[in-house]
Amino acid sequence: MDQRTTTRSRRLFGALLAGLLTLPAVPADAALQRLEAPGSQRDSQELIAKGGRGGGGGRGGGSRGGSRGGSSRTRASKGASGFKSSGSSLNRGSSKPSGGWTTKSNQKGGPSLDKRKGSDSRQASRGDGRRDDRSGNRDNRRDDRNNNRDNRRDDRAKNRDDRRDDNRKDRDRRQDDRWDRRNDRWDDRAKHWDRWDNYPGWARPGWGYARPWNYGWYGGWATPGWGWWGASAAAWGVTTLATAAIINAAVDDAVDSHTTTIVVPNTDYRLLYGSVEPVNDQTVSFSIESGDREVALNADCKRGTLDGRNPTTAQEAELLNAACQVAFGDV
Amino acid sequence: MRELPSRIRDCFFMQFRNPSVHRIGLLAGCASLISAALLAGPSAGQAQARSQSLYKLDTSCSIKGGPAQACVVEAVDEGDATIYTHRIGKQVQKIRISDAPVSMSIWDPTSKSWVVLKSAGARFSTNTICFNGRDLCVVNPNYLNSVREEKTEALAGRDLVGVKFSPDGRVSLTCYDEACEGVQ
Repeated sequence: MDQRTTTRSRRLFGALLAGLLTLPAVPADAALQRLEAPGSQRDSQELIAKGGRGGGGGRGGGSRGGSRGGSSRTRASKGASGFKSSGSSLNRGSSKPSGGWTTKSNQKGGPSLDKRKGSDSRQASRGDGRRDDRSGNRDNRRDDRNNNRDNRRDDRAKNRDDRRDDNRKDRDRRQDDRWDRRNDRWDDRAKHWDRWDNYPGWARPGWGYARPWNYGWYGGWATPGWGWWGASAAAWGVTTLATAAIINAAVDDAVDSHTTTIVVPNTDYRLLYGSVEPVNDQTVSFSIESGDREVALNADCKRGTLDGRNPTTAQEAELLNAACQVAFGDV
Repeated sequence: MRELPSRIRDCFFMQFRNPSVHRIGLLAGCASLISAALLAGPSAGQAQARSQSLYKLDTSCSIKGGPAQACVVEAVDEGDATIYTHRIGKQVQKIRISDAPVSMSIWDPTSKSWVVLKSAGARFSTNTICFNGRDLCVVNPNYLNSVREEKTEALAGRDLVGVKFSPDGRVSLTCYDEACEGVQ
């Protein structure tokens, strides 16, 4: 019985060995990476697929890269290859968008394949330009840091070894802190990219006209103000709310730069404008970001209530105003 | 589910009941019946039953680069394609768009047939789609929202999308934004 078992084990082992020998050659280091750090390898693929969005990844180490990759994994799985989604970008348009079908389009100016006036300059100044500035500043800061570090290193060379060791430890700790902070920022950005991907189709350039609902209480919003505003405004000592133009511009900016939130004017609230959705012709549901959490709220634009009660501060009134403008306001 | 003709069912039944019959002849007969049934395709009534109106949209259209005119677009899902009927005053223009691979054609009332389009373009920021250059342009946020949600990755950050079709109806070129400027 034992001998039979041993023979069977040998046969099995032989078959496995033969199978391994017939496999196509896999580079040893690649195989090791796959076994040891699947997250980090996936990250490098993501970085390539996304055009190296994660500058400094080689310095960051496996665990740091892994934490960022987790939230954007779905994006990579959908199209790591540049060719996977390179087919025609139009289709038959028969699948109902998440916001539903609209029955009336209020587009001003009629159909046009021309760019919106000013969209180019705005995009350049608000989006890529700002990003370039940020990159430039970051590079400058990095250069400055490198220079400073070199200087300090020269000075330290004159000092005793134990002090140098202490300094090095401090420096490493500071560097680690910096990397951690940077990776936290990457995590936030990855989270926003995922949120952006899940935004409904109308949350894009031309959002005001793409909103699939064509109903709702507009309330003569611009002048005079909301019906509910007057008495409370006097009590708060605030005479005006942010105008439609300011809120619209904030959403335009956010759409252009693929940012998922707008900061509600004159407040600390960050409105997830893509979450705005009418419940009926005067009530709207939406979410705001509060720290790391999302808080779902609703607003009655006609009665002027937030989650069923009157706003208690000017900031709450601004939030109500902004959500209603995004949902029902003129553009 | 379409019912098979009773004679087809008889064929199979007969085979089991009497195995000594000439099976080759029977099989040939059955095959011809089945293929005839399949080739006949759905009847007109069945095709209509599969049509489903998706929406009617009051919007604006323009013809050959002309001024914007009020028009109504009706989108009808017809199984393997979506038919967009544009009513502009007394004019009616029908566009047929099918998927996998995407192809677009326009109804020619003279020849009473679908004619393959040469090109199509869409700009998301104006909710506009144009067919055959600017022969027919329409503001249709429904179409663009639907496309945008189905092609999330390919369209992320894009505003203008252009497609050219070869004479056989297949996509021969797709361009985005600045790249479309050089495409006629």
